[in-house]
Amino acid sequence: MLRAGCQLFNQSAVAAVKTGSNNFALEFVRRRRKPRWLPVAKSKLFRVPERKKQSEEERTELMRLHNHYKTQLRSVRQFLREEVVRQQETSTADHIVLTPEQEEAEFQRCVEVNAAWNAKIAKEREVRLAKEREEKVAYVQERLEAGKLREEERRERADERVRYEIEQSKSFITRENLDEAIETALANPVDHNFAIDLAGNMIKGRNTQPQSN
Amino acid sequence: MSLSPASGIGRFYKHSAKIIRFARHGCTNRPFFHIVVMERRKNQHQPVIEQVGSYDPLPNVTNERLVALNTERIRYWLGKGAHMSDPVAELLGIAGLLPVHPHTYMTAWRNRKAAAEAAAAEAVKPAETA
Amino acid sequence: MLILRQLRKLNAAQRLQLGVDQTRRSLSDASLQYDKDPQPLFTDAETQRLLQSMTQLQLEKVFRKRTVEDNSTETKFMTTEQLEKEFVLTIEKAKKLLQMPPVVQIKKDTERIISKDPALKDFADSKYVFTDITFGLRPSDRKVVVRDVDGTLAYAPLETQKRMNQLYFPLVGRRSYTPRMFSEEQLLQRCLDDHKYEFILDRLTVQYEPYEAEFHNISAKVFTHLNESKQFDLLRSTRHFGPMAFFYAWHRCIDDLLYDMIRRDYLSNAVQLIALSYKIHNVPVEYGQTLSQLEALQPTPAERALEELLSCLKKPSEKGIEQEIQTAIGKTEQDFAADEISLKFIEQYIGSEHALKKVQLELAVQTLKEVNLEKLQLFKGLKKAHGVQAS
Repeated sequence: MLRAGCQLFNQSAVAAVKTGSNNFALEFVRRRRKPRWLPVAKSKLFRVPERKKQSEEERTELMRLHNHYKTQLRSVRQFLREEVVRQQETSTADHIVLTPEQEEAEFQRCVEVNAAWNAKIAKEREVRLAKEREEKVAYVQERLEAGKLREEERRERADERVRYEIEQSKSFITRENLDEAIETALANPVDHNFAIDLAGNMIKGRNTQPQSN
Repeated sequence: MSLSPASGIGRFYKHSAKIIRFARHGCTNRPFFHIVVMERRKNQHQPVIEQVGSYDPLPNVTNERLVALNTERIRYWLGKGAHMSDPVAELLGIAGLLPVHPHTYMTAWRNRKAAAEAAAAEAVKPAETA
Repeated sequence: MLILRQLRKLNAAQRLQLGVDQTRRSLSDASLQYDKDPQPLFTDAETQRLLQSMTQLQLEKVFRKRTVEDNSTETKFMTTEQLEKEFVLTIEKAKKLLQMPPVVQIKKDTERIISKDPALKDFADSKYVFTDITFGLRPSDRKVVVRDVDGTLAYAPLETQKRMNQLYFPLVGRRSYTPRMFSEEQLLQRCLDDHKYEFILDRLTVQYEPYEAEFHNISAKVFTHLNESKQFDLLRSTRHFGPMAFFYAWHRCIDDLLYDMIRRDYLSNAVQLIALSYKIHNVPVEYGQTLSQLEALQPTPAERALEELLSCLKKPSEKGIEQEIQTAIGKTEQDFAADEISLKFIEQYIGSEHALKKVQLELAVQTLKEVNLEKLQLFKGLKKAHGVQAS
């Protein structure tokens, strides 16, 4: 028992030395092969590899089996090939072949369906376009009327202005009545000075006293 | 070597020779094979056309070797005229999908013969010692 | 050294022997087996309705937090219509969650040999297992064949087939080895003693197929333990309540469950349970009429749950005084009527020779009757006080 234990210990120590202290240093065995251009090794120069003897019995038996196998496999392959072809025929739509008449009929049907669809859509479009046209007309009419109204208002405002100016021009000072105006102005001096007390009374004149009331 | 997806990034010509064969995916001392379809001329670690199964040659806990076969695709590719490597043909024969390969029969009888010889030797030895 | 090794070998052998003995004993413990195929009776529409009604639908229990990775909830703003729609969807979802695992017969493993080839004997030192991994096959349709060492090609036994399916197409939650909980007797016993029935049954449903012997044995063990501990409420409103009730009804031991139902005032469920046992054992008692009467009076669990959900949308002012009285007492007038019918039926059952624990059941019924009477009086009094006319 003891000896066995010792051996075990020794072995593990040897292993530890071999791999080094860390476990990461894994040892890879890298065989280096003989390059092709080197000749056969001297020791192997006259070595003739021994050929395994096959008994006649075994050879015939294997021949028989192989013949059987090949025949069977051929028929299995035939079956599988047919299966694949069959599946390709049945599983995709590409292989459905139509006669020219059928094709023509199919085309006609498609055309009819398309025409019906077009007619339906045309009807819908007609309605929609009519409605849109009406809406456009109504909109333009509305805009026109609004413009007219705006124009009228503008004219009204201009007339008003003219009338006002004419009214004003009556009191204008011209070259003719300039002297008259000067005289009037000199005759009626206007004093714009005034004061306002806290109660809001306006006190006119430059030297006046507050009116006592 | 990167893992190739099961159904294919491998590029192939329409009429090139395809083959169903093993591609080794295990590591050192632990073989594990994918059964793949690829162009015959390519080496096993190039991208495959399709993976159609797997084969674990080491017996598991319950002493079974596990093989997975995508039979539908195998039938398809065989029907398309794909070749088979010998080990795959043997495996498919054992699976009962194709006829049993002669090589399997040969191993069987050789094993039986070896076992019989060993038994005979066993029978002789005790007689000698006794 | 040698002797020691021999000793160790011997010990191992003994342990193995012991293990075998233990498993054998555990098998004999679960002696309650379905003697004939229970599947037609279980999947029968009427039985399913009865079982679903017995299971009930408590939304808090169905949508409770589980030990799964994602228990998150989503918060959304919704209009009332959207919310109502969502409620209906929720009920549908709950129904789906309450789908019962089927009760079927144990599937016998038959040996189906495809071909025998004696010339292939000893072609390899271990057998080959071939699995068809064709895309899109159902696990039950997947072909698994075994080529034995002696050259026989046969379909794989069910156990291998399941193992291969799990290996190549793993199911989430199912282990490829037997979980220790199911393989070791004392661990399962500990689970049972902790009343983790739902956990065991959930895991059982994931781990085993319903036609496997282990499924039957362990579920029988759980149900018998449950019948002794009487914690039936743990399974109420889960997917395992239906098979449990079916199990008791099949093996004529419904009395404990019945007692529990009466004590908790689930009288219509008690009636359904009795009806189920009558149906299973072909007892010549007319139960259809009582059931249809009860059905007319009471809503199904799903309807009731939906009503409960919808009632939280109503404002308290909208609920009439009648509603308030009903919520205070917990019963409507129809419920009282239904109780009367079911009590009559239950008493009839207790009187018959099928009931085993007559005294206990009678006592429970008596107590319930008194409580009900009190409630009824209170109900009437409240109604009168609030001036609600008896409709």
